[in-house]
Amino acid sequence: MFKESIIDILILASRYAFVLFIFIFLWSGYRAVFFEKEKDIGEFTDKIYGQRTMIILTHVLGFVILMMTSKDAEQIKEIMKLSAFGLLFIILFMIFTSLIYKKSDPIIWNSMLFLMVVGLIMLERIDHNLAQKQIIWFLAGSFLMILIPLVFKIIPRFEAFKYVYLIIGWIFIISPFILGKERYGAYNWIYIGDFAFQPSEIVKFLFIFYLASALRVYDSLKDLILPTLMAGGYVLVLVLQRDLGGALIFFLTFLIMVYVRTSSSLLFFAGLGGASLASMLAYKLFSHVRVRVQAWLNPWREIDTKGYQITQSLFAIGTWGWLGSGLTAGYPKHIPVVESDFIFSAICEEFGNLFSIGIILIFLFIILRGTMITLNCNRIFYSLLGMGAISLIAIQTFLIIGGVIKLIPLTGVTLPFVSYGGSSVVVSIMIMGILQWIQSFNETREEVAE
Amino acid sequence: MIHFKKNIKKVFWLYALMFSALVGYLLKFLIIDSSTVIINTYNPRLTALEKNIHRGEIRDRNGEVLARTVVNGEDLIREYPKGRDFSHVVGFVQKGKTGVEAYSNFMLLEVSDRLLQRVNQLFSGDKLRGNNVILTLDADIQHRARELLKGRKGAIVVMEPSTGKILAMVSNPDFNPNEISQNWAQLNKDEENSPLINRATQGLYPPGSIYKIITAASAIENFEDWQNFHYQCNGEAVFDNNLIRCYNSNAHGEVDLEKAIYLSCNTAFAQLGTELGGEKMQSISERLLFNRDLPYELEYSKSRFDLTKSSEEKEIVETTMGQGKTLVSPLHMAMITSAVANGGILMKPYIIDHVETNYGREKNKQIPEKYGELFSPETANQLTDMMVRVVNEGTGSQAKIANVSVAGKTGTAQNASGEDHAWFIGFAPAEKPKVVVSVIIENGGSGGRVAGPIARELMNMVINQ
Repeated sequence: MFKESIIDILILASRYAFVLFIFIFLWSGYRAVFFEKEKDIGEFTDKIYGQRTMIILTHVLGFVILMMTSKDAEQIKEIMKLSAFGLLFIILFMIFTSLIYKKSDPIIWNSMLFLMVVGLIMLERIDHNLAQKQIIWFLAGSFLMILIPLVFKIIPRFEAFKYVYLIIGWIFIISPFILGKERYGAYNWIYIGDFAFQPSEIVKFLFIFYLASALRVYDSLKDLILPTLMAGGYVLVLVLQRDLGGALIFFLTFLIMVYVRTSSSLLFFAGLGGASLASMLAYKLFSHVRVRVQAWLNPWREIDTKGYQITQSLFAIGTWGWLGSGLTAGYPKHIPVVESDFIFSAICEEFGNLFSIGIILIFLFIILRGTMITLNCNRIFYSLLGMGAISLIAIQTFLIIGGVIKLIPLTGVTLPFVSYGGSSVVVSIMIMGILQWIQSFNETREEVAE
Repeated sequence: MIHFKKNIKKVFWLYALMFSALVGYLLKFLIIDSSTVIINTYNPRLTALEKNIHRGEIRDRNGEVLARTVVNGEDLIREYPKGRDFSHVVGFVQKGKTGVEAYSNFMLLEVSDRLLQRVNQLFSGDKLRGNNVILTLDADIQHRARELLKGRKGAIVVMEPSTGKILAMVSNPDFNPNEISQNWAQLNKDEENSPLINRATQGLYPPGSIYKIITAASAIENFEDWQNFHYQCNGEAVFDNNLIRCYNSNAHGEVDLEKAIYLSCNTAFAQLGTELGGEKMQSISERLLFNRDLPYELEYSKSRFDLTKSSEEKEIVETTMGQGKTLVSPLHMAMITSAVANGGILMKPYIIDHVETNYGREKNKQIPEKYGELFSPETANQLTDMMVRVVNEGTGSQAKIANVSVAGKTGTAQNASGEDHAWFIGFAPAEKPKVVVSVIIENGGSGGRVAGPIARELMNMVINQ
């Protein structure tokens, strides 16, 4: 009894610690940006190390709590192994990113790591097997990302391959029609043996490469015809596969990239208008669209059917207030698909809402630093590519967090870096790799020129 | 390239705006919506909490314990030290939750200062304690009200008109909340007495003559020369082939509006009804929240009113004197009366005053809130004068208190279940009201004789407290 009480006390106290860690993390990031402007390299590096300390403290504290609350010795050993493995991953990630990506932005790397660590703790708390798999996805994604600069060194002018991106993209995106099976009411998964993945995730990657190379040269509206048709095709296919979230991400990313290239707000709003018309049509035509919208408008009316997911999410977010229940003290397993789509609700529940607001701000930090990278570019292709990368992450994050807090209708997408999921994790990490490579390329080239 | 960079910045601000919307909406949800969302019975956390948390106490405004949890070995047992006094309004938890127990469920399970409690617990071994809920009810007034109702079916509501605080709310037949589980089957079967129903808020009764203050208010509002209204009462009269009688067919002679009220003259009000018509009566009744949701948070039934523009004269005259199809709850009548007492302004009625943590910190204090103006101040004053005369010179004489001016209105409502229902609504002191009382005694007979003395006793008690 006494031991249990002590553990409970530690869990309750840890809520303050987690909030403190994320606060210091964000504050250090903010100060780092300030010292970077002042060109004070010493202080800047200091703040970056401050952030890294917070990542490690969060990881260690999270896993210590999970070990303490675990009852059987075998399980504790397993968790300890995973935790050590995780720590090793964090450190290797820090080392390799600064080695391979020379002059890249450490704040972005740190932010990704923080999100990944929080996701890993939450997954271990929900299901040990998922956490184990997730860390393998982290490794796989990071490994592929490390390869990016090497590959790009071999292929110098990759803006020339727009048709290659296009064709491979189409092969992937129609593959579920041939190899696919239904999962959570969507047809956007394919299976190779036991291994399931979402081709649309990989297409994201090809999509921004295609758009950046196609939009690089722009003289008149005529140049937009083919890209528009292609983007429209992707979106249509995703809607048919019932991947509404994916369709929205592709479409909005396309609109943003076209806007940045053409400066035409008319096109942008015409696009949004067209999308609204298309949504109304989709609402009329597809019952699964209607279900989502009705569940959003009034989830309480059909609380045990259509409204079940979103209301369970709101209960988790609302019950414990600012500091949360404390890690392991809540009931996140009552939320459906908590490991992927609804992981944000579980974070709100157990880490508290001050912490969850911190998570939103970390995403915003990534977007801010990403924007600074694209502003720093002198070549349109890279700038567009960077813009595409940021947009994919920003839009996806907005869709899923907005969905689980009931700001907008739910569209089943994952929370980048945090949710469980192989394709999602690998592709999100690689998208950040592209962004960082652009930064690295810019900075090192300038150096040579000087 | 310059445009290009400008566009990128614009896109960043768009994203910043979208993410601010996320934070803003989350904050709004947490600060405003979440307290009503999480008490939903579909929230699995509440059931889980119940097993591990020592449910907080419910206390009256003087700190007297109305509900508490005691430890019996491994079990937690909910006790109601005041027994039947608070059976409906405080409710119970054993067989589904009702009353304050249901409405304040989350507050009673919410643990404040968790960390501090946990540390203390190391030495005491207690379970974590939920917050205590402090009510506006007064155990003494409640107890007295219940005594006065003993042996009769009916309900009493006592309110403070200037704040909307409910001081007492009783309903009879009642039940013993400490034995709810043992008696459950029997309580549910008893359709003749329906002891589980809170008659004060869920009971709907024909208002009888207490409705006349509403007809009178409509006359004051609509007829500039209402003070010149005269009617010759012969004890009965025919309206649209329908015979209307005064109580015991008493002929009141020549009456004006004031006299018609304090003598409770049915024929005069039937005449007023024909002059006012259905549309005006519908408009004032709906303004006074008939057919509408009441600003009240626990369970209640909506009052009903049936006149419209196209109603026939027969229906109109019956309704304006208080019969017809109108149905009203004792709580609703207390609210209308307290608006009259409060210069026309209705304060939202409430029962939960605040929440207190285990370390005595006050939380969620309910500030008295204005609902709206039901009557103009002039109309409220005119009605008050008339109601004072009801007690001083008319049917409400049994409610008189020495040296205090009391305002009231009696009602003796015909109904299908036998003898008339006895009503009394009133407030005192009339010039600076401290208390409103609404009393109904089912099948009690004359409102003045049966309900009046009960109201008198309770008003006197509050004034002298």
